[in-house]
Amino acid sequence: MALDPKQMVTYRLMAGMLSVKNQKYPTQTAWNNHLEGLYHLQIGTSLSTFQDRYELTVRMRHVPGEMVQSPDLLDQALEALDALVMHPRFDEKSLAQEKRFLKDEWATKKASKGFQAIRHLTEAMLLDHPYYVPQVQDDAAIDAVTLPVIKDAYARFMDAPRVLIRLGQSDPSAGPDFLKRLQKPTTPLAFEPPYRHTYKSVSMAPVKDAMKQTLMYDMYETHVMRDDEEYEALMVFNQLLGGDSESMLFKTIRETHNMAYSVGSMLLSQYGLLLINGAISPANQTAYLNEIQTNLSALKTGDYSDEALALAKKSQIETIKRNHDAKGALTRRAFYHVYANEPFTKDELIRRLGAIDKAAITRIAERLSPVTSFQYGATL
Amino acid sequence: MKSLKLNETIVMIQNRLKLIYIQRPGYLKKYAMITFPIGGLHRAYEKAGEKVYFPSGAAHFLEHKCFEDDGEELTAVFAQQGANVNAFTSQFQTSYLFEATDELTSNIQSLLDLVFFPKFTETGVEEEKGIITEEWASSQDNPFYQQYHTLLETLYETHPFASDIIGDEKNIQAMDYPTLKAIHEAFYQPEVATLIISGDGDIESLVKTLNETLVLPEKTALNPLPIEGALPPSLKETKLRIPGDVYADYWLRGIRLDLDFEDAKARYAFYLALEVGLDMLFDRTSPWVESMQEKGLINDGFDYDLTLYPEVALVILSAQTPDDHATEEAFDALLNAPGALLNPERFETQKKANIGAFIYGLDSLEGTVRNRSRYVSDGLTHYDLLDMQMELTLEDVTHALSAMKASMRALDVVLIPRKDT
Repeated sequence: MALDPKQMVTYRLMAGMLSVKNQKYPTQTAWNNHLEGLYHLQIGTSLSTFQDRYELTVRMRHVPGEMVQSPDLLDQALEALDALVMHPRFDEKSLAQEKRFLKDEWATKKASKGFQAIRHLTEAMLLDHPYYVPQVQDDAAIDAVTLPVIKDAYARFMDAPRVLIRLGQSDPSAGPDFLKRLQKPTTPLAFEPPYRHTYKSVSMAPVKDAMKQTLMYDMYETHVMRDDEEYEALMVFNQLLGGDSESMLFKTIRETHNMAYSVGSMLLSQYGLLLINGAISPANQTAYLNEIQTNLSALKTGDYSDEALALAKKSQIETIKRNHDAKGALTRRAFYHVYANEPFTKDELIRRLGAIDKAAITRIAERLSPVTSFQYGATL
Repeated sequence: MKSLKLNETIVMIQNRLKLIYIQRPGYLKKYAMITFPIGGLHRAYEKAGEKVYFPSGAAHFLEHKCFEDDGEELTAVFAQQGANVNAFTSQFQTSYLFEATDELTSNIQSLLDLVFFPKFTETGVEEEKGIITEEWASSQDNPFYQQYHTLLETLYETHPFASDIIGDEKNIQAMDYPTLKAIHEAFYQPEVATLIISGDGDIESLVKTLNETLVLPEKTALNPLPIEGALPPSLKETKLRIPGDVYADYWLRGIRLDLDFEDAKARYAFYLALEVGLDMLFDRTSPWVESMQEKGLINDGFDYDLTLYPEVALVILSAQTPDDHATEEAFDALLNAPGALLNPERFETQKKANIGAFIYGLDSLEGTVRNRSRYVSDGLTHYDLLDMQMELTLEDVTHALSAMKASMRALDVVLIPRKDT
């Protein structure tokens, strides 16, 4: 199964309509006044994807009632959550407004050079990947959505498998009674093993734009997915290559040759890809690409210091440790625990990262195969 | 309301450097930030009674170069100690920071060494020009940045606020080692810096170590000078339309306020009152915003922002709009008659919302440190501001909005698709 781009538009519009008002608070100002009166209750929806599924998240953040001497604040917050999830107000006027907002948002995204570049790149490389969905489409895709379509989408949302994650110090037994009233999903929450796509090497023509810089993108297939034995080695490989300011790309391209302000690499784990990107003056394109190849060769042959490897492992491990205090990272960990059975605690991951050696890095480097090289912006 | 004050300790290290330690039991991470009162707006120091000027972009350039250790990058030292180090320069200050789970004392010592005894070189300064030029170039490729910069350039024309924090290509290329060295000597003194640390750590042991082993720079003959610059008495333009690579029209209104205050407390009292006033007019609870959205004049990206320092007072409104004339008219009409929007019930709701927002800010170590740092130079804390906010009256808010209206010089900059020109 692949992600349907039309559904992305529908769910985006539905998520927007859920956030703006509901049957209990039928206008935007009534709803928002209610939330602000609950000590700036933060509640909203967002749409993302996991593998070939859409994931609609309803996120709520409230202050502890005891801090503001309002012992029933949690109950009031949960009532607000109930209003948003269970009592939507879908009408033509709201839909028309959400459509306009989404068109405006897409127009703003298109004004970003980086977005335009990534759009060219992903549409050339990922269009037939089942996990890919374009973030911006033609406005006609928005116009095509009708109120009955939104209502159908809501019915699917209410029938979908769901996960509840609570973070904080409130009583875990307190509360979300309304969730018990929700209909039981007809399908259980289960995912297939990650899809392994076979990429063909593609030659992409540069896209010229009136800019001072050239945005450079070099994409490689890793042949390593998140559930593979060697995934931790890939994490360290990426850290060593372009993960931070101690990485080889940063040290050589920025610090030694002063060619870029920003340069680095990142893992697109869902797709089994590694992306190297930087923004440079057009005159430096050849030198920049040569540096990438030199660094990749060094990773293949082990021609880098033991200290560099130790530092990359330490940086990875420290990032994981620091995430212990980060709300977003903890929530994501919890989702991955439920979706992919990954352990919530990271002791084993830290142990495995600590055991990565040069031989493991070489194996990753040898498996890496170039998929495309793409330049957007200024030309010589 | 329960006291929202976190447990903190304030000590003077060697009677020269102020250290504020905010205890956060249960956190694994430690976050530390040292701040110096030099930003993009500072342009001069004093040497033997003479005023010495330096170009725009110097504070930012110096921030980059403090990371050099005789040709090497100091970030590796922090990484080896498990820390992630960074820095930023604003118009008013420069801050250096790190986050780490272990080795707090070693990382603090490395941070203080980095800022007080930088080992940058002439070669390093020359090499850095390429990197900073690329940083500048990336902002030039952003049409929204260009719009914002045009707004500041026109509103502030003769004032340093008209310039970019990074400077421009010419300033970057002209920067040299002696200039940066002198600026460092003048502005990076322990007496004007504040070090703030937050986390679950042993403060007594840290203070003891720093008092016994820390080496601080000797007092210098150079002195920092405050921000100076004349505001243009009138604006050459009140509306500009600039073309860019965009697909819709974007309206940006800058409202320059030329105000004087008796002291910092009076300035913050005004700031808080005006902030609440702007919230009541423009936040997500505003019927005016809902009505403008229903008319199709603005969307859910409509935003507003208030900057208020002794040298700069600026309100910015931004909206993607199909009709900038109608949007301007609606805004002017609202400012002339805010009427029912400023009612006691909405005012009380706003107070509750502000308490909630304050409590959210206590969640992260970064937020705690940055909030604590923000008012230090004026001898105030964010807790003081919360107390002041709770004492605000609706009359204060009305008065602040009236004062804004009376003193404002407004400029509209509309970013339009290039093909329309």
